[in-house]
Amino acid sequence: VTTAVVTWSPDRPKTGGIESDVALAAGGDASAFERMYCTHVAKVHSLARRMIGPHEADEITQDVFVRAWQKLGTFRGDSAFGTWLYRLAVNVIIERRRSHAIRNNRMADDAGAVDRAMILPVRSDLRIDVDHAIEQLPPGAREIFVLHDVEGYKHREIASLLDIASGTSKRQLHRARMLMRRQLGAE
Amino acid sequence: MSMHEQWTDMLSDYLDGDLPEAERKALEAHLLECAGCARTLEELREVIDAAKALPSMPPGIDLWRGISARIDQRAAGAALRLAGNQVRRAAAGGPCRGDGGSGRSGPCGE
Repeated sequence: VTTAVVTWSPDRPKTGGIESDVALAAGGDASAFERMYCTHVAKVHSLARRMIGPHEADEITQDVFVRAWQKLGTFRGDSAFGTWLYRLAVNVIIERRRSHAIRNNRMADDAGAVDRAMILPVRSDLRIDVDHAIEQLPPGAREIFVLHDVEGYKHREIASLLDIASGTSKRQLHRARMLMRRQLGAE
Repeated sequence: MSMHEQWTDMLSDYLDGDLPEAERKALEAHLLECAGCARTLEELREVIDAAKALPSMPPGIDLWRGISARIDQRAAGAALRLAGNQVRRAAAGGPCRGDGGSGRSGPCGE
């Protein structure tokens, strides 16, 4: 049995790029996987924070990378590694949301959250932070807004990911944008 | 649904280029006459632009330690099952060095 100690130093030499790191990590090289983590952690963490909230973003980010480590052998290079990883992250986040919905015995659309968002005070004198405004959106509209307007997914992709109709995705997106407009003090 | 809402409900599809041609032309004609809808359109455009411009921010704490520990456990478990396979074991305390033990500085400098 060979034992390798994973160490880090600021001047650790870079190796031959993300493609070779993917191959190395798939073969069990944790140092290569660590470099991939460094490249992608900000985007994965931001995605989790915006889709599900800051309190769970750290845990979800860790889950995403552990899942990616487990599944690296299934990455065939048909898309960029980042694309593959972010899709994996979206799936992990959606699974988490569904488990919350089941646990809380509430509908994914969460009409109450819509009401809460609508009654938040309008701050016409101050443009509040966009990320904070996203946090105020009801969960269903929030997921679709982040996936479409922040991450650039198409409605048909969102429909597939969330198991909804494309028309539902479009309606939720419009509702989210109108709520965002209100939260940002435009109305 | 009011007449006004019928127009505003078309604005997102219009901005995304998803509105059928006949509806697009009708909306554009309406926008020339309705300052309220035209303003809402511009405000929605600002929301979209703001969303696209959002930066990715790294986590405030080092998450690699926890990931490293978890993948190391799995690697160790696999090694027990498959003697002779290469085992990767993280150093005690994880891969980070030079963080003074605070755990606030990760391998990526976050």
